[in-house]
Amino acid sequence: MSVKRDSFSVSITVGAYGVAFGAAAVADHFTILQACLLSLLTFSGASQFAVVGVVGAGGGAINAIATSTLLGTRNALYGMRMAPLLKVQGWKRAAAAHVTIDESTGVALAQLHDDDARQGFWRTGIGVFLFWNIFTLLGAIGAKAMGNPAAWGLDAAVPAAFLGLLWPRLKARNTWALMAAAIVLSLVLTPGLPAGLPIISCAVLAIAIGWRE
Amino acid sequence: MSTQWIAVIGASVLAYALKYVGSTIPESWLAHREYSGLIH
Repeated sequence: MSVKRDSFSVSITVGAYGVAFGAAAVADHFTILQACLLSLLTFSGASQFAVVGVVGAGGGAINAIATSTLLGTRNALYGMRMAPLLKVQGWKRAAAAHVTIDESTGVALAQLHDDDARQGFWRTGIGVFLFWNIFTLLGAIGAKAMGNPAAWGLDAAVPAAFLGLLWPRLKARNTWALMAAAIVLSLVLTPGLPAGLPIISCAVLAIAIGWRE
Repeated sequence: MSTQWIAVIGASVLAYALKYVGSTIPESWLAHREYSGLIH
């Protein structure tokens, strides 16, 4: 029951943020079709915002693709973590790869049992995919009526959903120490580094500490 | 082709490639004691 509840609540919360993406894409001179294709095919929120942000600010396509790809490297790490658990081949592996994102991995890793983890991954991945794409379309269509999408505060939904997933796992002292170190590192690096590098630096920090232990 | 279309297609192809490549890494590469087991 809690897997279904976790998956649905994360899916609807994160999916609703798709409104902000759809509106931002149209505001940055992407067409409704281009906004929807980014959500359907790229399906990774941070990378999508990077594409429309860079192009909207006058950057070239190569810069947009490079920034988006840099942000998307974490999904490869998630894939490495999830593959031994999912154990899927053929078209199921291809489908699983597409829905390997922050949220599906986060819900899966928050579960205590493997069956629940697999169920959490698929339910959340498919749920976010459906809601994210529906809300992207709604945001793109209603972009002018929405005004400034940032004013809606939807950007707080994703971190809030993650904090909810993360909180029950913060039991040991070393996980609290790692969290504090990651916060400090990201605050120090964010003003000076291109988008994407601070989050990758925090991931490398976590891997290094986890490997050492 | 416009900048937007190149960005949409390029970002989408590379995003999926990264996800797929990650899911094909052999399990033996994750043979550290903390990673060779299951979730918990």
